Amino acid sequence: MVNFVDLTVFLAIGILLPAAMMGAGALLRPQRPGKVKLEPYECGEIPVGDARIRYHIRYYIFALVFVVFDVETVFLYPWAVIWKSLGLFGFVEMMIFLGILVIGLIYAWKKRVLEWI
Amino acid sequence: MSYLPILPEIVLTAAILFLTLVVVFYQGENRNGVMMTGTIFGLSVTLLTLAFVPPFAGYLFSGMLTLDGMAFFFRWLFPAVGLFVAFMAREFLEVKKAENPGEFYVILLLAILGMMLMASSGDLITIYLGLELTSISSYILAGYLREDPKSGEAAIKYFLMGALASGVLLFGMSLFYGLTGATNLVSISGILHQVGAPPLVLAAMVFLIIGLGFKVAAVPFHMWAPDAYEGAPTPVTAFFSVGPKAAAFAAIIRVFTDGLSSLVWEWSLAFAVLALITMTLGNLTALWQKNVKRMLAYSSIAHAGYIMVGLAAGTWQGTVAMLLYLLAYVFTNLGIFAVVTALGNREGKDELTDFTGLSQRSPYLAAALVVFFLSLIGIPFTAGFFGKFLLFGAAVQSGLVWLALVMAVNSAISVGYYYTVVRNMYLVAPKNKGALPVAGELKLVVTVALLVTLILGLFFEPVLGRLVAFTLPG
Amino acid sequence: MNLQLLAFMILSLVTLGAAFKVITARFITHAALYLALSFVGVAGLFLLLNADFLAAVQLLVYVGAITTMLIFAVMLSQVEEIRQGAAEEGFWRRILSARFGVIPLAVAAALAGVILYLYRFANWKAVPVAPDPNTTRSIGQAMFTTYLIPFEVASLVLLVAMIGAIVLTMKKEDRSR
Repeated sequence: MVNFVDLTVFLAIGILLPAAMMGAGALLRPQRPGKVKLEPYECGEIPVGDARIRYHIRYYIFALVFVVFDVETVFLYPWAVIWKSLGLFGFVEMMIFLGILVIGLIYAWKKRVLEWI
Repeated sequence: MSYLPILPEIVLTAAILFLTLVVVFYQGENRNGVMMTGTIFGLSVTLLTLAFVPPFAGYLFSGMLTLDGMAFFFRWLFPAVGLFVAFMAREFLEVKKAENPGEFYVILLLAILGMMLMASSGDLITIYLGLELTSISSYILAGYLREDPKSGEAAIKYFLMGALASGVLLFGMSLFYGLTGATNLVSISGILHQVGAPPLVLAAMVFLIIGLGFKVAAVPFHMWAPDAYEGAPTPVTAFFSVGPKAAAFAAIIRVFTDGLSSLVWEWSLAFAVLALITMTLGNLTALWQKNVKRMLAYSSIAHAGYIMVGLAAGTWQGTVAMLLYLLAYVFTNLGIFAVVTALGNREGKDELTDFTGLSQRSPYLAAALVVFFLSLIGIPFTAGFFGKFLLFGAAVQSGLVWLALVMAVNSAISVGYYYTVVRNMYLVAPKNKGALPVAGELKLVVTVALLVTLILGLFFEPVLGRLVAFTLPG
Repeated sequence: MNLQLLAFMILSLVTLGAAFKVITARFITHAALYLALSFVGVAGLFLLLNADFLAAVQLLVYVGAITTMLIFAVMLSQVEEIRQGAAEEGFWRRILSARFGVIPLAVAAALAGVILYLYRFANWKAVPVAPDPNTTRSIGQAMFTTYLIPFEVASLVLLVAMIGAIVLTMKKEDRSR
């Protein structure tokens, strides 16, 4: 069984270290907030309007296509671990699975979902 | 070779993938017509394959699939439903100027594949996947008319309620897995026979009943149905009222008679109560409707109630009666919706007043509609009669005389709202004069549905004989 | 043993606390981020059960993909209205109002009570088994033997989701020619 103690320690350090650094910074630095300083940082531009605007629907489809292929990766991983022992049968099965999704990809492609506006 | 028995499903999948490519690569003008032809071809080949594949009975793929008589019945029924809906859809999509008419057929076929999987599954996992495939396709179909806010409303209501139902169902399934350590229905049945009925098993069973109850729109869980049925495109409403509903009943029969056979007393009681309130409320509410799709939604809720009487009986006779009733109901309802589609394509509002004077504008459709209504009421010499008769018999045999009587009273109530339509057609002067132009496919659908309704009503014995042979226990 | 219990406590606290914040957060974007945190907690619980592959899937799919999609969906909606609606009456006011809160709360509490009671006295079939040294391998093995049909059907479910999203969202001018 894999021991997850290492992971836990790593996680704890990963959380504690930035917290300690930022905490120390907050304690040590002088506190002089001004209007300009509190503005959201936008690469030097003066921010206009609200950050929460309505985005183009295209982003959503990108996200969805991403989810679909993310899930595909999840299925690929265990297959990759044992594909040698599965032989030709497992290979064919996976190719069918991938083929169905590739048809989905072709569909999205031809529908010009993947093109930027 | 273990793939031969599921060749029909493989053929259907191939057709789906091919048609997906056709949608994007076919550049011609008449995409809608080409896709309809392709869909009908694909479904016909599926049915032909089903007819010619050597019969196989038993478990496949480590018990994931159960291919028995009932599976065969539904695997035959669902592609037939698809044929009807595809025929009904073409003109509708054209009239309503649907944006992507081609994909409609692909999604419809995917829903049908999911339904076939549900009916032939032997494992909770395949049931759930089939259900999700059907449901996701159904949500998309409900919202297919993007310009129509009602269609969007139908989709979102159906989706939210459907997602909730899936969650409840999945929770129940996970409890069964935790309690029995198995997802296979046969294994679950074996283990449950040993452990009896501890409280948590009953709680898990209640979750399954609620989850599947949503999908068949049984009464406390029916609130999505009227809005979804009213807002969805009419051919899709036709599909909802027969396809996913029949598939959910197939899943119910699978889960409860295959998997939970030891708890038959408990679940048949639950279904008896559900059947009682479902048919009564469905019929009573249908009386007040002004929109024909909404009225038919309540009518279809009421019919789900009748069908559940077969489950309440909890016997093999009950199951046979359910299947025969479903057969009659499916084709009758498809016929009704074909008439509604034909009328809606010209009038556009689907109000009950649109039917005024239909007997003069299209005597054939009006007469056909009367026959379909008679079948739904359960008048002798129509398909619906024998379905109701068998359900009645199964209920009485199981000592549920009260339920059988309620069913008879409800059939009488249902005359009320069907009569409103008939009166509008025959006794009220038409709003719009002139013959109603009806597309050829719709006439074909009405005619086939009419023939099935009448033939099944007159010669039901051979069909019943085959169904009995299919579903004989053991 | 006790260390495991402690880890379980912390992870459940993270999961439930984050889930609570999901429904009480004022901004719906924050709710989505809390949901991601809740998913992380669940991933930790999977790890605690020695289901390392599932934990990875939970992080990859739920925290990575689903949350992203949720946030995109939030950005697509009319966020102004949602924010104002939540800001006007706080969560607790809403919960204690008779119309929105008390009845659902009572039903939920009753359901939770019944389920917890049943859990407590259930005869769980699942017995402690020796932890699987390589869950990924076992999952792969099961996926390509017993669960072959569900595996292939899963790809069709993904396909219909993709086609459906494109059909329902793509604008007219984006249509392929």
